[in-house]
Amino acid sequence: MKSLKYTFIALVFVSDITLANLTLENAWVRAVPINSEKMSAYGLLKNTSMSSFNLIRIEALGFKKTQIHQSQMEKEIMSMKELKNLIIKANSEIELTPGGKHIMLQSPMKIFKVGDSVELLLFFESNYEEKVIRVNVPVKREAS
Amino acid sequence: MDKKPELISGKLLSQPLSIKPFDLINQYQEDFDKEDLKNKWSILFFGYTNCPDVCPTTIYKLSEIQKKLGQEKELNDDFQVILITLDPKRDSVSRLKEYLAFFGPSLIGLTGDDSEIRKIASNLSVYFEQVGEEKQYDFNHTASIFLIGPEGTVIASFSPASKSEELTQDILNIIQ
Repeated sequence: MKSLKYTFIALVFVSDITLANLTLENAWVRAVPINSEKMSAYGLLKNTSMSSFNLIRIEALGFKKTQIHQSQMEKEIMSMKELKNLIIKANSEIELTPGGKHIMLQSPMKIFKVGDSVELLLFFESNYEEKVIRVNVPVKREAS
Repeated sequence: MDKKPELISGKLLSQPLSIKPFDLINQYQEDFDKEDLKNKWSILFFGYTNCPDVCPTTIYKLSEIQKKLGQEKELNDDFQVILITLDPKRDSVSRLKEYLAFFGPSLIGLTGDDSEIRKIASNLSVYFEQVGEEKQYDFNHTASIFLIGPEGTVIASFSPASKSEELTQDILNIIQ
């Protein structure tokens, strides 16, 4: 049922966006041991358009919950907080990186191993419209 | 007097810090105490297996360093990497075994009574605090990486954000 929903959304919106202008490049999901409740996705969000894009929601196929998170260190203490949204200004980029901003994937419904991929749907607002891009992100031990 | 090495990724303690007695168990259900830190070099850090970002990043980095030091410097038996869980409620012996086997065969995971974990955390000035929902909670915690010398005392601490190559070089500068 969920995949049907994804398909519908993708058909409606993907044609709305020039994908070349807004991309998630060099994306990867860190492989983790089995029975782990959380995984993280990283990459470079790149906006080469003249408009800003507001990342408001992410869905990941095979996970119950997906959030934008930021790890931060202050006086050697690492903490993490949820970000409600992420604005990528015109002609700018935001790096999603270990120890920094990242996509947190919670409660996997199957085992994701090295070599598998995770389908991400990134929902943006721009010029009062919702846009979505879909990215298949490989599961790796480390960024290559 | 020997000149102290200058570190890129951390700092040498002005005085080695003694480890007070503690009583934990490793992922093979064997007792582990302060005596197990003696006569070898140890890298020690605190984390938890449900940590999605910083802990797996650090463990991966440290397992690579351990491999490198083992292959190039033949330090296999004289160098151990230890994770002490801050989450003994979820991180059982079997969970630690399953989790660490993914990253490398030689990594050591320690769990035990909450009071024993608090004892060594306090000894090393490691702060931790549980945050979040009932089942999906996380920890804000000191993420420093500690180097313990053959005397069983803490000699240096490093930032978890350090690059693997810098950490390796700093560790080599101290132990060689």
